[in-house]
Amino acid sequence: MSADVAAEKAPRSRTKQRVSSVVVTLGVVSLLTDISSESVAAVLPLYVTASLGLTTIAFGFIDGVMQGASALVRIAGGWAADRGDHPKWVAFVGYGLSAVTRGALLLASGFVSVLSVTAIDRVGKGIRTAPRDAMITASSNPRTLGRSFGVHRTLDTLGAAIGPLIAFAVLWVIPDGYHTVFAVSFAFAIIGVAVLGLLVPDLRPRRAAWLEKHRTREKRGLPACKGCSCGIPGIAPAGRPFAWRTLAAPRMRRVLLAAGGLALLTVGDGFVYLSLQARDGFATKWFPLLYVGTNLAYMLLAVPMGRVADRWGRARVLVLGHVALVAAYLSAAVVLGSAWTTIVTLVLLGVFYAATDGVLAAVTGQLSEASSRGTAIGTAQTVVAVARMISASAFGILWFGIGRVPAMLVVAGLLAVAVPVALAAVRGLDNEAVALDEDDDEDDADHDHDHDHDGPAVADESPEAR
Amino acid sequence: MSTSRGRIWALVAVVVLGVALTAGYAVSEYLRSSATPTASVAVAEDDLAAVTAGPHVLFRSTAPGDRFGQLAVVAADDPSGARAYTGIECDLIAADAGRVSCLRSTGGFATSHEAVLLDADWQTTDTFPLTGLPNRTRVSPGGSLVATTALVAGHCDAAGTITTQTIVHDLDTGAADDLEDYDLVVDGAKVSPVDRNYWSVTFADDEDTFYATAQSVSMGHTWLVRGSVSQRTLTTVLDGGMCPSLSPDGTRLAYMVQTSSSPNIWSFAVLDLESGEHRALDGETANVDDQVAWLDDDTILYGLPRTDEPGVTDVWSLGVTPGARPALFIPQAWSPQVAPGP
Repeated sequence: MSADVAAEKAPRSRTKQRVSSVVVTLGVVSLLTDISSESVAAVLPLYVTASLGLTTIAFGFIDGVMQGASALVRIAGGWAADRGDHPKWVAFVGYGLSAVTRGALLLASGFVSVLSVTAIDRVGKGIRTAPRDAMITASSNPRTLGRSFGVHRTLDTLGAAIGPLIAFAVLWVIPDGYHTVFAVSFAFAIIGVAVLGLLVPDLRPRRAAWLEKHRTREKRGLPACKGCSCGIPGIAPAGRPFAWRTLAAPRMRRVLLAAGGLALLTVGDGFVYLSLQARDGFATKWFPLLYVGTNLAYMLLAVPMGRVADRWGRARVLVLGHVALVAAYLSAAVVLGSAWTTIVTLVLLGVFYAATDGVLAAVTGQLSEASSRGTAIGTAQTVVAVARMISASAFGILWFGIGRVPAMLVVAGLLAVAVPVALAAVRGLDNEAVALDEDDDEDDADHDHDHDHDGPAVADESPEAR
Repeated sequence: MSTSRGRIWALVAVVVLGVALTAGYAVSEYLRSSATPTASVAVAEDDLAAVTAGPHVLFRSTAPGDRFGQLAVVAADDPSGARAYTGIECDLIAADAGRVSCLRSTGGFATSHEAVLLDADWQTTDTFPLTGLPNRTRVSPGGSLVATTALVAGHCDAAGTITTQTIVHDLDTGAADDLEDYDLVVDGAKVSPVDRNYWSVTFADDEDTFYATAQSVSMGHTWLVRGSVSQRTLTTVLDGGMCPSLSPDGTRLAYMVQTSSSPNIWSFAVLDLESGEHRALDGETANVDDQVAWLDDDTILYGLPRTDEPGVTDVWSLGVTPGARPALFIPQAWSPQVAPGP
């Protein structure tokens, strides 16, 4: 065991290291799950119209309701992970629920049942996101947390790209093979759940944090010598219990305000794509593919941006990523469009996501205590998602009120003003995190002789692969 | 990582089992798909030129087989008889004055959607890209205006709701008007709710006037509206209805109205434009979702999906007189349009 623990400590040095195998495994789980969900998502509209008969209004309504529910379930998922200190099994429930819906799609034949199945899938997605991101945080070296999230998001987005390709390949071979697509999707989902259940260790972040703080046998309430006694209560400490108030800590509040405030000044990708389409034949022709372009840029840039965030400060990169968004809006608003402005806009959107999506989880993860990390990450993601929903509706009003180009320019202008303000709001947060980190390191040095403690950071496996 | 050997083997077992079962299913589906008899076994085929020589009905064939989804025609006096295929894939069809509008989605690495205009010889004259799934289309009686409605999925958008985009193409001038740019007049006052949506256009015979559906969820209304291409206006005609279709004599609109909310049931109704009287057609009790086509001044045509056969639909006819009952018009068909012949 002591060799494992030493391995766990080694990444604290500044030498170049690999990303934790837990992060890679979680990335593979997301890749498999995204292949599963995106292969179905790619053919579902066609399936519903071709075989089931579609009612416009019902589709829109249920979709809207489910988006809201998914956001709330996300906080609940994080909270359950913190409360029970078993994020893996909360995530397992979320992934499992989505996998079950893939199987149910094989049996569903009516429009309503297909919609309910899709809705349950969304709930599953809501449940698993925050616990998973908490596990990524818990199993990563704090110094390279941004890179860890970058690696995870790259794998995740790769799955989202492969899924539709598989689906269309199946339909190409079997023209009415919707059920085969569902079966393939089901298999990927089950394998993803199996990888999570069998390969990912049952991380106990709260317990690990307690052990981190109480490094001596004495502090842990253990007998002074090893092997003197077993099974006494101090051996399995529960860690500091979860508390909502840790979310209201000043530094967390500053991140939530900055990220939420900036999200209130976003436009919604749908409007950006419509804006491109309104002006450019290229964008109209490739309209269904525009989001693929954004995803491709995101996939390629997630790791580099994560590294940049680790070096320059994650909160800073999170805020400055919105500069790419300002540029994307300006590019989308350009009166004389061409294929190039469309491509540039998509790349800028990709830069924005690479600089903000995983980085937001990294910032919240680094600033929250282990006892409330899942809830903190879930809350931050929900705040941003809800703020974006509000801003998209508000932008709709602006779009119809003053027209497409002025509306884009107004939002770009407001966002350009808001970025320096947000930058001031998060000033010092990155240093604070580094300072905390260095405290830890000193702590490590003090207790380097104490590697034989009974509770490693994880229950039965080391989080680091060497 | 000290993952136990047992867990690795368990994972290998899951992967092997998953791949084997899926592959087996895929192979059986492939064999079933390639073994499916062509439509000609179940449906008699006729010569295209012979059918189009007289009054005929255009439709999308939903008979299983390799001609599934093709634009087909039958003689108007023998709609359930032999059909002739054009070889052109269409999800939705409209036709008038010798011009056909065919809306379709093409699968591929990414699905694309388009409206294709065909002349009387089935040759493509124009192609317009659509921003989403085809929803409705109509051609004006004079053949100069074509309306298309597409469902626009607001990707990552506010609440992810689906909205519609309805374009009226003027083929003489090349203009393409998005109905959202027209003025909406409700009870005499101009309004512009942010979430206004328009779909299902039907044209009058003056090549200017049309009727359509307007909806604002925030205002809580779905209206039938009368539009004018030259005035660029939409004026509400009736509150509570959608998908209008103007009768050949131009005096009545057949449209959809919600007759029950739980279970959710939509039925057809007819509005007399002069008197303002409207009446639900209670002969059809199924939940309907279609913009009807008029067979003549007294009969409407519409599609209904079969409950036991996914993908297969039938076209039914229903008289607009009180007490009329639906009758099967064209089996294994969708999106009917009546054409008089040359």
